[in-house]
Formats: sequence, structure tokens, C-alpha cells
Amino acid sequence: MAALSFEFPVYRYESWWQFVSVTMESEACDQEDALARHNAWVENIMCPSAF
Amino acid sequence: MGLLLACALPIRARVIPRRALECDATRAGTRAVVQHTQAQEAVFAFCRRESARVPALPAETRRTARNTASQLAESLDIAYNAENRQEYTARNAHDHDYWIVFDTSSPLRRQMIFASAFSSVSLRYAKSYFAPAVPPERTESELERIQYGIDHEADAVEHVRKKYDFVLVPPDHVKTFTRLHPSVPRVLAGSADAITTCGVLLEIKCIQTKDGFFNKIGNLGRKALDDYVDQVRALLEVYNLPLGLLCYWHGGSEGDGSAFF
Repeated sequence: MAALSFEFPVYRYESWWQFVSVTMESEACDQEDALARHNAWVENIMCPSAF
Repeated sequence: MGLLLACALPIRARVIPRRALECDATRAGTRAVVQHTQAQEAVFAFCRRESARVPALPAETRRTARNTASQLAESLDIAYNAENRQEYTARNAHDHDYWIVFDTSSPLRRQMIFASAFSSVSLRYAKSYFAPAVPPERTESELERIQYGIDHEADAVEHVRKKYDFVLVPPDHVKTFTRLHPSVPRVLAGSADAITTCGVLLEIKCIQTKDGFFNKIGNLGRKALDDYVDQVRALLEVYNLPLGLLCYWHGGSEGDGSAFF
């Protein structure tokens, strides 16, 4: 059997994103280690010579 | 497949109307199991379409998507050819006028939530959008499936490209970089498997076994999206594109029979 494929279209869905982004922010607030990692990331971004 | 599920006639005595298959692919049907022979027939009927087309989008949306893909291709080309790629892309990562990308080998990746975290498979492991501090242990068969996907992704992309006559933003450029969400750059990132010049994002899922393929597509139809649709939606947000194709691909193997696409 040769290769075959099946494709499903998925559309951008604004309401979904609004819900998820709020959920992510909420989760970030509950996780100190996650926030620490994000802070470290921001520092890295602002000081690219550091890596 | 909806009709398949409802009808008890043997598969050979029945012609499956394409409309029935397409209709089923547009709604969440009841989850029921059909025989592999039936599933094969349904899947092949769909895969054999003479010319596959992406769903029609409004003209303005198509124009915007094409422009977005064009900008992305341009910025990826610049970043890809930068002398010091990691430093260059990191330096530009906080410039909001720029398409924000960074090298996939960058340590910055570990600080991000990735679109792939939205797949139900990842959520089952991590129980969180954030990557766990300790990577989860995976069984040998899981690692084998993951490796199969890594090994065959390029083949799958090429297969879909030919099927739809797509022109792609250079795949090696796309695969080299991770993009940050333009308005939530501290949180969400993603890497597309491929992007077409007309602005369609491709997310590839390679299914290793024939039975796995037919179980996923033949039996579940539209429900096959359940595991990965949120991942594709997150990628669409990251890349600012309106439409993605979740592509299930099976590479086939010798001795699997005479059916082909």
C-alpha cells in the first residue's frame, strides 16, 4: 500500500483563544516555578549576550 | 461513515456516497466501531478524490493569509541566513515590529508553553500547559511512535504538498524556528510543521501502523480531531493564520494490499 493521507480543516477560533489565554494566565499565577521560568526568560530576552 | 455505521449491509454490496462521507466529516458523529474493511473503503473513497482542495475562505481572509505567509517567509529567510543565528533571533525576539522567532536549539524554548501542550496527549502527561520540570517517562512503544513521526514528517509534508498542489514556505526555514505569540510573547510559542505560501498551516501526524490509521480515521472520522484540534488552533494564533489542516498520514508498507492513493 502506498502512502495515503487524510486532512481535516481547523479554523482559527477567536472565542477559544480568549478562553485559553485567560486559563493560561490563571495557571501561570498559580505556579511560582512557572513564573520564575518566565521571569528568567524575560531576562534572557533583554540580555541576549547572556547566552 | 455515518451511513456506514447505520447500515448493516456488507461493504461490497454498497456504494458509499461521497457526500455521506463529507457530511460525516463535518459533524461529530456517534463513536462506534466499524470493521477495518469498511473503514478502509470509507477512507480510500475520501483519499482518492481527484483534486484535493482546501476549504474556501472569504477573499479578504485569503488575501490577508497570503500576506502573512509572505511576511513570515521573508523574516524566516533573514533569520535563517543570519551569521549568528541564535544571537540574531534572540536579539530580535523582543522587537514587536519584527516577526518574533528564535532558533529551535535555543534554551529559550524551555521557558515557554508550546502549542503542542494543547494536544490532549500532552495534557495527559503534563496535567498542565507548562512543561513539567521533569520530563515524563515514556514507554518503548511511545518512543517508537514519536521517532516514527520524526523520521517520516518530511515524507508526509511532501505527500500533502503534492496532493493539494501547495507551494510551501521553505520547510527547513519553518522547522528551524519557533515563533512566539505576537501579543503574549511571554507565554505561548509554537513550531509549525509546514506553512503554504497561501497561508495554510499544516500539522502532520504520522500514524505508524495500518490498523492505527484506520482506527483513527475510519472509525472516528471528525472525532479524530479531538486529540489535536486545540494544538492546531494554538498554532494558528501563534502564526496569525486563519486555517490549518490537520493531516493524518500513513506511509504504507509492502504487502499491505493493492489499495493505494
